[in-house]
Order: sequence, then C-alpha cells, then structure tokens
Amino acid sequence: MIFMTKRSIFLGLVLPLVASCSLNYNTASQVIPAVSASIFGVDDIDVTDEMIMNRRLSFVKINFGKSSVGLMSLLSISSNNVYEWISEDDVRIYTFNGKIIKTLNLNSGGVSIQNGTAFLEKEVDGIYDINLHQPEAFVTQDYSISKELDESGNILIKEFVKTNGFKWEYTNTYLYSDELVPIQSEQEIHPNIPKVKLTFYFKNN
Amino acid sequence: MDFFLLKRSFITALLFFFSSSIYSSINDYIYPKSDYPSYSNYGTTGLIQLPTARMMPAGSLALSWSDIDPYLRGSIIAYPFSWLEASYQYTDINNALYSDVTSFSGNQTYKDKSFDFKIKLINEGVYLPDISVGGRDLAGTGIFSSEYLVGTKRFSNLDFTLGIGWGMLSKDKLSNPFEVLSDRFKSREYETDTLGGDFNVDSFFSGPASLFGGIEYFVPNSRGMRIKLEYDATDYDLEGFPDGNKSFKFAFKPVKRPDSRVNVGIVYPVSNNLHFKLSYVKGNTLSFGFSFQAALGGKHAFTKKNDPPKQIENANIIKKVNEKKDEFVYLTSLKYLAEEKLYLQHADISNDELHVVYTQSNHQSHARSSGRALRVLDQIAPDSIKSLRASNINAGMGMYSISMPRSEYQKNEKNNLHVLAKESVELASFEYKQKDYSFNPEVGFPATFWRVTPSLKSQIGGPDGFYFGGLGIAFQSETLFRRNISWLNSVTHGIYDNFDDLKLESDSIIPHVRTDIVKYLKQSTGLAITRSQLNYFSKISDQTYIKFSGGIFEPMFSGFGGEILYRPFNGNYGIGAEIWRAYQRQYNQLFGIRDYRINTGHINFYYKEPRSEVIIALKGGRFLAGDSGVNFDFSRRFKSGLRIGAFFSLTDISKTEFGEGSFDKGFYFYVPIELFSTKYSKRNTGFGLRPITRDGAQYLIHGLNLWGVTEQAQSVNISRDFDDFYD
Repeated sequence: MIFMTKRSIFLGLVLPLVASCSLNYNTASQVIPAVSASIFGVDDIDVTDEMIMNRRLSFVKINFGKSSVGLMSLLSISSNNVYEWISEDDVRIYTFNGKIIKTLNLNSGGVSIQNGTAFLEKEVDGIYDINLHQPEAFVTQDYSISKELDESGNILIKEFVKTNGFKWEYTNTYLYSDELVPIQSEQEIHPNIPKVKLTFYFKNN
Repeated sequence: MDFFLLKRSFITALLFFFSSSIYSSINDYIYPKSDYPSYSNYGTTGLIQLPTARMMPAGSLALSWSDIDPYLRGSIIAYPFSWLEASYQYTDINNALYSDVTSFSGNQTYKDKSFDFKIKLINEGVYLPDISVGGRDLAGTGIFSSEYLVGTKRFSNLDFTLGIGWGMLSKDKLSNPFEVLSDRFKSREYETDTLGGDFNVDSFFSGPASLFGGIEYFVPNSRGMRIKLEYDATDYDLEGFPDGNKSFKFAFKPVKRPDSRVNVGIVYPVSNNLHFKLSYVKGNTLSFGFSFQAALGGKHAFTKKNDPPKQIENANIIKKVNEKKDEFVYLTSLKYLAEEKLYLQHADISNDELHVVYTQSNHQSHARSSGRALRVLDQIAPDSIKSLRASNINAGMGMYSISMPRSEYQKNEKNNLHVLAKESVELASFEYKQKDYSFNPEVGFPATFWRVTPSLKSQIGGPDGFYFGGLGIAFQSETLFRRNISWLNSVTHGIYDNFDDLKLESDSIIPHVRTDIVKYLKQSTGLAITRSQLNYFSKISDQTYIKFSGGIFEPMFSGFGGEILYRPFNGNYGIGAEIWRAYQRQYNQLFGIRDYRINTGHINFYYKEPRSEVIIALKGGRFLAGDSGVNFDFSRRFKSGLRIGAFFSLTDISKTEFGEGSFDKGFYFYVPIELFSTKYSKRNTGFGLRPITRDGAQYLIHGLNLWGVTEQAQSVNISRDFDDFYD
C-alpha cells in the first residue's frame, strides 16, 4: 500500500462533500467497539473445568467492575505468603490472604499497602498505611473486620475501611474455604479503579 | 464569643484555606476530576455566562453544548497552543425563524454561526493570575459580539475571576478606559454586513464597558463537583433579538429579561473529560449543558498503549542457525518483520552490515517503525553482523535510511537511552534501486488491499433544515500493479438519508464547482463512485518526486494531470507544482461528465517550523471556478499525531461574486485512531468545517498528494519522534 499523512484523504473525503452551508465527516467506526465496551461493559470470562484442567499454574480471574476482565497466572509465592499474579500484558497484583496489597502496571491507578500482610493475621481493627499511585498520595485507613459463616460453611470476612484525609469508605468482602483458602473477594483498591473482583483457582503444583 | 475560641476558629479556617499546600497530593483525591477547566454556556472555558482566563492544554479538543432559553448552543473548541483557544459554534435562536418563507425553511428557527477566540497573555504565578483577552462572535452576524480582558486566580479550592467586558458584556455602561487612546473607543456600532464573514475590527473593545466577576468553588469530597457563582455583565437588552420582531423581522417573541444579575450553577464531572452542568441564570432561567474535553496532543494521550515489540522465541537458536547461510537471515527477517507489521521488500548483507528495505502501515512514528525493524534484526542476525540498516520505501520511492552499529543499538536498548542511540544513528535519504539486493522476495502483483467501512455524509446549518445526513457503506480499495503504480477506489452505497428534504439551490454567479452539493447529495444516494484514481509515482532525483494521476479524483471532478515536489531531506520545506485538466462529474457520481471543464493548477509551498511543528502551506494558482489567488493553510501537529489547522483563501473575485461569507475559510483537525486504542495504528479520522462553502477558491482534491506520500522523506519528521525508537 502507499501510505501518506491523511491530509489529502481528509480533504478528498470531506471537502468535496461540504455542503452549501457546512459539512462534517466522520469515519471513526473503529471507535464504536471501544465506546460500546465502555457503556455496556465487556463479556465476562466463563471459566470452565476444561480451562482449569488445561492451565498449568494456579490462576485468578480478575474483574474490574464491568469494564474489563482477565486471567492472571500465579508467578511466585514469597516467604511471607504474598502471592504474585501476572497478566499477559504484565499487570501484576500481589495478594495476601486474598487481599490485594500491591499492584503494578495498572493503567488508571495503583496501590501499595505497606502493612498489608497484617490482614487477618493480627487484631480485627487496625490502621493501614497506603501509598496510592496515579496520583501519588500517602494516606492511612482505619479498618475493622467481621467474620461469619455462609450457608455453604465457607467463611465470609467483611472488612470495613475508612480513609483518613478524604472521603473514601467502603466494605470489602472475602470468601474463604473452611481451611482459609481464598475462594473469591470483592475489594476496592483505588478511588479511580472500579471495584475489583477476584476469583481464585488454585492448582496443586 | 470568647476571644480564644474566636482565635482558634480563625486559625482552623486559615489552616483549611491553605490545606492544599500542606496535603497537596491528597488534594487530587479530595478534588478528583479537576484537571481541566469547565465551560460556560457560550461554549468556551468560563463560569456560567462569563468567560474566565483558563485554558485547556495545547493539543486539546472540546465539544460543548448548552441549553439556555431561548438559545441552544453547540461549540467545537480547539487549543492549537497553550495560549490560544478558538471555538466555532452554532446557536439555535428559538425566538426567531430562519425566514418567513414557510415553503423554504418551514418552522426552522434562526441559526447563528459564530467564531470566538481567547489568548492567554500571562500565566498564573504565585501572585499573578492567569490573564487572557478574548472575543465572542467575531466574524458572524455580531448579535453576540463582545470582547473582554479577564484574570483568574486560584486560592486553595476557590477560583476567582475578575474581568472587564465590552459589547454584549457591558451591562453597567461604564466609560471605556480605552477612550484615552482614541475616540473610536467611545461608541460602538452594531450594524452587520449582510454577507457576513468579515472581522469587524473597528468595533473591537469599543463602546461602554462593564466589570464582571465570579467564583468557582471546588467542593471537597464530592466527586469533583464544582459550584459557580457570578455577577453577570451581559446586556440582555442588546444580545440576540431581545425585543422580538422589533429587533429582527423574523423574530416572534422577546427574550426574557433578567430578574437578577447573580447566576449560580453546578458542574458535575463524570470524568476529567465529561462535565455536566446545571445553572440558574438571570434569576428566572434554568440552563443545562455538558462538555467533553480531552488533551490529545501528548505521547500516549487519552489511552495508554499496550503494544510492545514482540520478543522472538528461541532467538538465540535462530541466530545460530542463521550463521550457516545468508538466505536463512533473509527468510527469518521476512517472517519476523512481518509479525511486527513491517513488510520486507529487499535484504542484503555486505561488509558485516544487514540491510533491509521495508514498507509499513502501522506506525505514525517512523522512528518507532525503524527501531522495531532494527530490534528484529538484532534478535535474529548472527553475531558476525556488526551493523544494522533499515530503509523505508513508499509508493516505490526511497524515503529514508537509518543505520547504526549493532553494539550501540544493544547498549542503549535496555534502558531506552534513545538520546544516546540517536547520536550513533546515521539518518539519510534513501535512493531506492530494485536490483541492488541479494534477497528480493516476490510480490504477487497486482496486490489489492481493501476494506468495507461505514460512511456518513452530513450537511449542517442550512436554511432548509439544520441537519441532513446520509448513512451508507463504503468499499475502499487500493490495487498495486507495481510498487509505484496504484489504483485507488472508493465506492459508496447509501442505506438511509433525509436528503429528499434538501431544497437549497445554488445562488452562485460563478461556475458551480461546489455549490451544487445539494444535487450531488440527492442524486448519489444509491451506488456512487467517490474515487477511482490511477497513480504513477517516481523519484526523479535525490529530492524530487513526481506523480501522474488520472480518473475520478473526487465526488465532483474527474480528470488527469500531475504533480511535482522538491523536498530536501535535510530541509524543513517543500516546493511543488501541480496541473490538472478537470471535468465536472454528473450529479449521480457514476461515470458521466457534465459540460464544465477547466485547466487548473497551483504552485505549492510548504514550510514546517520544526520546534512548534507549525506547518504553513501556500497554494497559489488557478482554482476550479477559474478564479486565481492563494490558499493559506496553517496547522500544528502534535506528538500524538493530532493536527489542528485552519485555512483561508483570497482570490481575484469580488465579495459579491463570492457570495455569503465574503471569502473562503474554515478549520479542520485530524485525530489519530490510535488515541482511542491500546494498539498503534497509522489511521486517522478527520473533521473539517467551512462556515459557508462557495465556489470561489476551490481546488481539485486528488488522493495521495506528494506532500503526504513523502512525509518520511524529510529528516525532521523522523528525528522529532526519536523518543519512540525503542518503544
């Protein structure tokens, strides 16, 4: 193909059609799928038994509200039980007991909870020290935790969080097996990021 | 009250007031979505009815819409520089008809077109406010015309504005401070030229003045909501058609007069880009509107890219195998360059240098495409290769060649040290000779590339209706018979339109080269050929390019002719000429031609100021209607590939011959599609608008003009993007 800056194409397409008063012309049909996704959301990923079988590593399905969904593979487990998950496009999240305590390479924000490994390990009330990214800020959050059993005998943890410095309050939920293995969680991680839902698929490897 | 309690309250208030400087980073969360200023009901950055001195960043575009009885106003706003805001708007005036001829304009209300600008004189500092000067409705009918000088200063979460206005912004009728300079500032004439389109410079800043001011309050922890309060200086006894048919013969009711000069409003930002606004104006009128604004000029503006270069699997093994035979190097280059959407045309190894010649259509940034080509070569070439060279061709013509020692490429790649890499790069014009290479993969000519895409034709603002549109489907193709011989085609078929209601006939007294648009629109709703153009390209000397073309160039003209362009590789200008025999096409846009034909041609001059990326293009010669003159085109290109431009033409026809609008003018912008995608793309979408299209100063539009085809044949257009080299 012969390539050029689009001036002549623009003029070629637009100006001949310019009406006796005025005219505009728009060929941005490529934008339509993106706009549609932003309004109606994206289709969820249906994780099938076959998909679980075929994946070599443990993985997590991550939903950002209705705006995006993806799968992340388990990359490493640190000595203090922080799980590192990675996506195909190098987004990384770090979880501790199912709670996201750090993110890397997310587009619209990021978080790093300095004392995130205290989650479920110590007292039920406490304070998180948090670095928010994009934009940068250091804040503290008061949290309190409640625990209950759901109908299936799973453990449901509710985490009430209040941010100091600006208005950002929310409740995160975490579902665990009776052996305290994370099954699913829904959590806020950043004011500019839709609520994150994690569904864990652990494999014995 | 207890003195100490009072003192403590005062200190608390003071701390709150200056809290932004103490916890400045948290402010981004207390006042989110406040990156950009908000818009007034007049479609420019401002308070409710009044302007502020604020601006969007350079390279921004915005749309604004407001409904304030009796006006509906839609605006397009562009920011070609950080100090310039230019907007164009349509105002639907609901207390007047377009005309009193029902059979012509029906019940359509009056539509006013206007152009506003604002120039920032001083940037906000610690003590100084932003100070801007601007004008409204500068080249239209003048029914909203006003000028102002305004300052805006931010204190914590309050944005204070104070200004002085003239024209419609002169409610207080204070004596004009400029009267000391000249008597012309003492009074103001509101007479309008029936042809419109001229700047009535003599009335600028003249007549009585008025002070105005207001506050924009950023409400903490409210998702970025803002509250606005202003003291209005608009003289509603002057603006629009205030007294119904006493002001204008087609007006049918007066405008509601204000009960108050204090206006109040809120702005709710859904995001940084989308703001909704609601206000209570004049003490008796509710108004509503929204604006969409985006800074589109920067690298990775709007959407962050996720399109990294591919890492070749088992590259070390490939390298080893490639040591055995040059043929293997060529074949793997062909394969892995294609995976990067870089299409190998030739390859050669000599004197420890691997040289590939390629074409590409995926990257706006030529530096990035070259960098990716070298990255592929570095991954697969055997260690004996010490130098890498990638040369680009387009339309079978050599564009540029980039080469560098392999060791330098590798040394700077890891940490993206593109500045150092640039120092070791040899960038030169590329002289393309097909027989010079050891490897010449066969290309199956003729090769056809095609796509099917929706098409939309719109006509806005005519007296017979505000919007006419046609939705259709377009088939576009390009067939290459050789690398330098191409055939462009574009065929459309309408699906739905409302063109039957178009009535406006051309009133032009010169040849109807454009004003028969209504006939073209109405008679081409079925199958229509919008282009079928055969092209031949050649580079006749190191820096001179020619093109011959024939066929259907555009919806209104076919013909034949040619173009020549001298474009020095190390210069920032081009000089060219073009000459065409043009035949006016039948309205149905098939193969027939009408009686009108003309020889048309121009001398073209282009100059690019390399720092600002401002491009000045002059096109002087004989236009399609036989008039002679010059077309002036000014545009600015931004890092993202966004271009914002405006043009006007002056020819030897009189204002009367030209008709409404007095002379040809308009604006346009090209927006790269990749701004809305995580992937790179070379495609653009365009928007252009002429307030009035007439027959004077119209030139033939032919596809693949040489200035565009040879863009990368000038070093400034590659080096400007060198920060993309390792992207």
